[in-house]
Amino acid sequence: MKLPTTVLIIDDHQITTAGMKMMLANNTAIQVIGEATDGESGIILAQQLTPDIILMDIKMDKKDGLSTTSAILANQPQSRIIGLTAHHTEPLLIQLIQAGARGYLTKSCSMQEITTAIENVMAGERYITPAVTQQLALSPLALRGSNNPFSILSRQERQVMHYIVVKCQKAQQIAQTLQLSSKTINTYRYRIFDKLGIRNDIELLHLAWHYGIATPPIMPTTAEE
Amino acid sequence: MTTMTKIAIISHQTLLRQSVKTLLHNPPEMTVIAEISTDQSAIRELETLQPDVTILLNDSTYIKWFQRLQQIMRIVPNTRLLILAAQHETVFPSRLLKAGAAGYLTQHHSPEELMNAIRAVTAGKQYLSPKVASQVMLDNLDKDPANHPFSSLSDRELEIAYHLANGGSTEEIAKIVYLSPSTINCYRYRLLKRLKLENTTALAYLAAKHHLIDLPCIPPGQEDSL
Repeated sequence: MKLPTTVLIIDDHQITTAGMKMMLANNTAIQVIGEATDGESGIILAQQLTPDIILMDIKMDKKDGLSTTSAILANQPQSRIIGLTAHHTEPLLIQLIQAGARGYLTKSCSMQEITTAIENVMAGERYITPAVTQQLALSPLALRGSNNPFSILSRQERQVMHYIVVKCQKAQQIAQTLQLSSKTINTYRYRIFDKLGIRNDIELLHLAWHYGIATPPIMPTTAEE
Repeated sequence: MTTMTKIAIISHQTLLRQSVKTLLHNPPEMTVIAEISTDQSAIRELETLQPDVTILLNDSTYIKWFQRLQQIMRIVPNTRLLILAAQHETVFPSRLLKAGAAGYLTQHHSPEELMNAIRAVTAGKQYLSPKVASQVMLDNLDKDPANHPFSSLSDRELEIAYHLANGGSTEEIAKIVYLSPSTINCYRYRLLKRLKLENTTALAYLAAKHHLIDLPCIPPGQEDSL
């Protein structure tokens, strides 16, 4: 008889993890051999248990899934890690795959899809949830053949953008810093908006956060274990 | 014989719905009568189902919670609404309880805590997990407004701050909240002054930091060097 595929779950959302574990228990081909509720203990368990598959939550309070993935793969390059995220973003997917994960699922997937992903990854393939691949293939960026929309901006436009999204400055302030007229700065602003298909500074900020051009603020963790 | 507690689970994320449903198989006095998505038509099903407890699982911002909560309360005013959040929050649990939620806990708790919460709200009590409760209490004692800048705002101000921080134009926001554009501009001016901010971009940063708006999940240190 074929041995079941052993799985380690690393996720700090205990309630949903417990339910997921119960569902996986119905599948005799899969055996959950461990659970960790933060990245650090996940790294230790991965070393102790050497599971076939690691299901990894991306957004965890203490150590996020991305750095935990890198740390596990540095110790055990053969580990098969499937990332599981509540909020899909394209840069996140790219970073996770670049870090060496073999699969990517969102929490919108069904239990059946988790099983499919585990089977595919065990067969040596990569698995990215169809909901995301479809969206990726149809996104305007993919159609333009670039995964960074900011690459179409000129050097000056990028500079102006930097002052808007990183320094939170208004046109007048930017004009003073760059020793240009406010009118010129606004011409740049509207050209940036046009090129990126957005309408205002805030939409520019959201796009910049999304692509890691500006760092989104991180809320300090409040409820400690 | 004890009566069965009829439970409905609502989330736009299938895996989370299924997980919670599976977890609630065990307690004999609980039965999950529906797990439904957040579509309008799905939510309207609640009227026929009349669950005793409705578990609202979401991942999103306070405003979305608030709107969903009001919508559910309109459809099934008698259901006990339990919020099962994915993130730790500090300012908003008490606001959601005031707005009509019967209980609030996060997915970081143990399954037993969820059962306790369901039993408490079924018994007509309000429930706040001990961890969240102590945080709420500490925040109330903390008089430094810098630590929770949004807590002094009214619901209307909070809603407008949310739309501004999401890039809504004056005209758009005016339409959404049924106010005139000039009133929205007044709100903007007052909000920035009260929060001591220079402009709406700074407001967006603050709103993201305090979970008022959705944030892309990107770890720090990825900035482009310009």
